Amino acid sequence: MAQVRETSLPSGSLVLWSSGGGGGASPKEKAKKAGEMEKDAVGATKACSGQDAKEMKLELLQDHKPCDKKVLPSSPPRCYISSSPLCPRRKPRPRPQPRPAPEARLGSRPHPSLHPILPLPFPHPSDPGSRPQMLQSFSGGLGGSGDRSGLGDWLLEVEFGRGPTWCSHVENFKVAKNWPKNLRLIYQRFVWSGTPETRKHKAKTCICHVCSTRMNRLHSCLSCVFFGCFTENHIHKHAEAKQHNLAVDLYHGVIYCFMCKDYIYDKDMEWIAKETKEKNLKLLTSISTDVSQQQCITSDVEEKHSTCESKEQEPKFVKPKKKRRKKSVYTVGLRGLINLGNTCFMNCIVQALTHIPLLKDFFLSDKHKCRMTSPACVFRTPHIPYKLLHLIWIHAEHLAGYRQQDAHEFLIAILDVLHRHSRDDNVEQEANNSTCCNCIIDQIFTGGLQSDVTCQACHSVSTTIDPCWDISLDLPGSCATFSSQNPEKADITVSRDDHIPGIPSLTDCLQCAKIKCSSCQSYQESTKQLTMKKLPIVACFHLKRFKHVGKQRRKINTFISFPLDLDMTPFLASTKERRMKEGHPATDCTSNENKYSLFAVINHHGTLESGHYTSFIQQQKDQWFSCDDAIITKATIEDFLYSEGYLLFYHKQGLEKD
Amino acid sequence: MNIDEQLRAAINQKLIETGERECLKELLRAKLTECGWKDQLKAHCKKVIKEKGLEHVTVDDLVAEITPKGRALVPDSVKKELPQGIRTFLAQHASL
Repeated sequence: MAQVRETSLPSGSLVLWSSGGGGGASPKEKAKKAGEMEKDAVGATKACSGQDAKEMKLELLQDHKPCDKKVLPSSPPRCYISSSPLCPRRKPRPRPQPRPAPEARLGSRPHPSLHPILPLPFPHPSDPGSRPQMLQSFSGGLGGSGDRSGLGDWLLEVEFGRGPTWCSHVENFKVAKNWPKNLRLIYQRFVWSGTPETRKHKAKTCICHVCSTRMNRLHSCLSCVFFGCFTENHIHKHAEAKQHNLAVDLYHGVIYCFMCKDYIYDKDMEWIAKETKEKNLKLLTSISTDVSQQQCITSDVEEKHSTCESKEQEPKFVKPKKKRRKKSVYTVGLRGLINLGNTCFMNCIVQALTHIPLLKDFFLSDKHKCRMTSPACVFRTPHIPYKLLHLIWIHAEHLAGYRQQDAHEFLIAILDVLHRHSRDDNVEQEANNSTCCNCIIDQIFTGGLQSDVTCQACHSVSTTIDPCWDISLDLPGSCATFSSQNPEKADITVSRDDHIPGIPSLTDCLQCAKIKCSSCQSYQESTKQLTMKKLPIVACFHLKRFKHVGKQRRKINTFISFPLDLDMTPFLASTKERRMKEGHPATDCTSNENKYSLFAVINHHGTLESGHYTSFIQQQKDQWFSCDDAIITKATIEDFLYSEGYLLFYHKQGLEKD
Repeated sequence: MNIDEQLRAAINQKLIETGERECLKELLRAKLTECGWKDQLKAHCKKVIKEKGLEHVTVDDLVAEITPKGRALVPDSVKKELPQGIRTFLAQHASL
């Protein structure tokens, strides 16, 4: 099972952290780092446009605002040094104080860094000019669009002591002994519960003491163990009765003062909140990778195999997020699919389709203009493709029901459904003219099969080009004329990457493929050899393993070897023409234009009556995975190269992404 | 408490215990940001602040103004996906 816990942690929380500290480093640098982490967090499965990153940065700059409503210069700096016990405990790390110049030097109490992951260079603490500069950039950033400049000025006001974010009641609270420890406990236990024990405890105890609700802005009193909801004023009543003026919102972690009737942002308390939140998230990350590990081990066959696989991959997944790109096993975007009842045929086709980079990017970047389910793999648990199944049942009725179906039939059906529904994507397309369609499906899959018919009487050749989404090939033994090697064909020098002596190869099948003559319904020789006028970007080869001989249907299990790289040049119509004109095969075709590489293999196991489909998918260059419904395991090249092969997906090399 | 509420409480408790609630929350956050809901609401927030005046606006004001709008603006797709996430969770923890 693909471990994508890191990516499923959205960037939102990270942005909050790094923005939560106010001035630590230049906001541009922080924003850039946070922006990068945004991109990491969203991951390869979602194309993070530059626009998104820019918006995130703006948001980051904006989010600086509330946190700058910290304790203001109106309180003498001495207060901080004496009343705060944080000083001796923590290793001092410099941080500029949010104060105007005269007090800055006095009050430069060291303050821990804001974000453990970002290695922020700290501006010199005694640099009085740094703060106003940052404010300038804030308001500059905020003033960038329309109405924001007003708020930027407000920020300046707040900074220089004209806003209501500090209250005397907080100071009174801080007089109590051990207040940081208590506050920390509250945060760890009730606000950001990280460990399973605290979560259990939170689940049990965090309900309103008056109305037992878990919602309605539940707050916890800071001075005693009382939970009350805000909306119904239950916590207010408690505050009045007990004269406990402060409470913390259990959802957001912000502190409310009942006397001032507003949320206040005390610097020390904010620091405690941030610290506990970071600790919690670290815990969550490490715990959830374990949980995901367990989830990937299903109670099915091959349990041992997958256990071994996941153990091997374990150390790589527990690595911190920032090293994700250096992982050698890159499993972002890989996800199992639950079998909904003989739907393995659908699952493996979906796996193959979603690993076509062009198709995946098209749907993920929302270029499709209608409300269809787009097969996007993003999260850690196997996906339950019930929506897709339902849609297929509606649009391809011949596949409805829980009977076993043919994967190839499904492929054609789903391509057809997507093709039909892609009408809106291309405005210029005429509805009934299938040859003019320019939808993404046609762009990727449509190839042109050329068939030339020579009239026996006058020897004129009529050429027809049939658009096709896949190439169906007969297997040796099923076609009587297979073994007879036409001398003409022997001249074709084909790169035999798949040649194993004695075993028929894909290239053999291609060479001897016959196209049915539409007029006389018989298999014509030589003039009807497989010729492609137009090569598709993704070529799907369908090996016809299901034979109907009279009333009998049987499966042909002959192993056909197939190559990792395939050159389609010999099968091009242009090559044939050139050969006929010049009389010799074009051997010097070195362009990569017609070279294909394998990226997905779908296999059928079993018999016609009862069988199972599995697939091998290439995730990255030389990284292959076996997808058996919900079970995804790493596979070696030998695993699939020697598999039977039923549907083979090749991708044009020139357009491949690494 | 009737059976519905009991069931709801039990599910909620399980969600919190396993940490799944936090995961779903983060998932929801991501989806709402993705579809622009967060920005829409932020704009509305600013509008409210401007109307009421910066000095006089309170959190309660904002909550009262924004909650109904926020609830209304959640796109249907998100509304369907979250319960689905919970269903998946329940399916996996069938012992509940």
